[in-house]
Amino acid sequence: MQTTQMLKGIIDGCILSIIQEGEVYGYELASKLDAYGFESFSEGTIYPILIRLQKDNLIQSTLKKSTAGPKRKYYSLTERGEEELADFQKRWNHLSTTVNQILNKGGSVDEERK
Amino acid sequence: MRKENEKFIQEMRVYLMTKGVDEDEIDSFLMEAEDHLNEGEKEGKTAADIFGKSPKAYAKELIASMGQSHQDNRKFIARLIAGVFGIFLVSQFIDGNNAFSIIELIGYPISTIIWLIALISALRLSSFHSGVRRFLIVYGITMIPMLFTVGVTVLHMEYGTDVLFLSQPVVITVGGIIILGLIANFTSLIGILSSMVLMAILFGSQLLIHLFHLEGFGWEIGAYAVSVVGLLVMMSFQKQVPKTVIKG
Repeated sequence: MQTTQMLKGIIDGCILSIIQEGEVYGYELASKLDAYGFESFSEGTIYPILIRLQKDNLIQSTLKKSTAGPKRKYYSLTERGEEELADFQKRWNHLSTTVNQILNKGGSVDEERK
Repeated sequence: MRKENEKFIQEMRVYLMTKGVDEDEIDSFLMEAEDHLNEGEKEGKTAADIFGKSPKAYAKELIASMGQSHQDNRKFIARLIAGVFGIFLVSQFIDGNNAFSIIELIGYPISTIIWLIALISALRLSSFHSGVRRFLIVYGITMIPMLFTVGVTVLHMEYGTDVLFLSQPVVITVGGIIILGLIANFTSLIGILSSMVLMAILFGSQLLIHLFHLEGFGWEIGAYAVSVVGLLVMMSFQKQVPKTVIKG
């Protein structure tokens, strides 16, 4: 399975988490995702996600003047977004624990065969 | 901004507009995309690096998240119809024609609708293509309404009997009001002046044909086509001027 396909279900939660650290604008958000290790992630992909998250009332945006000149859209979490992020963290913890258990068990089966 | 990036922004705007996406949503996204492209440019990133190799596929992904506004689409089409009708009336005035047959009264509105559908389709389908391919798409699609309009004109010349007579002042007043109304849509002096220059070019082509007595359908239809395409350019002009200039 391609990494991008695996990312589909979890990228929303990662974006919500980065926004929770502090207000960000589009480019900044893409750079942070990149810095965290999502290098293969196409930067432009964040915009359809941001639009969707805003439509779902999980994030909100405010226009602020930037040092570069034109106004910039800064994103922050809404109350609903905070709740969704907390839920995501719970779901992710459960999922990653389960997946790790299965993978580690698989490793031990291999070792037994040897 | 790099030319390639500018092209991306402009084509994306046209494509999203022809897909009926709300204009405010288009503006809001393009503001962010432009900022992203500018920041990326400093690090040597191209539009393809940021938005992927297929801008059309990206646009479709965006549309899926934006939701389309049919009300906005209706506004766009209403303005286009008014514009085409206004241009048609003023062209008739320049031509010295003030009598219309049933064939004209039925044929030209249908031809206008076919022109609109063809132009919107040509804009949408030719987005993100370049060179010969783009030319062939636009040329191929606009041939359909062009042939239809020629057909209506030929039918009118052969079988048309004038049934509606309008005085020249009525034709120019109605046509003029519609065009002035469209020009007044621009909120800045630059927008108004540019659209007036464009109108002068549009009707200039028809005036020249009339003054030099260039006979034949080819010239007439050609001038009509130039006017309609010019109208689209005028409507997209407002969007291409940076907001700060428009407001100023």
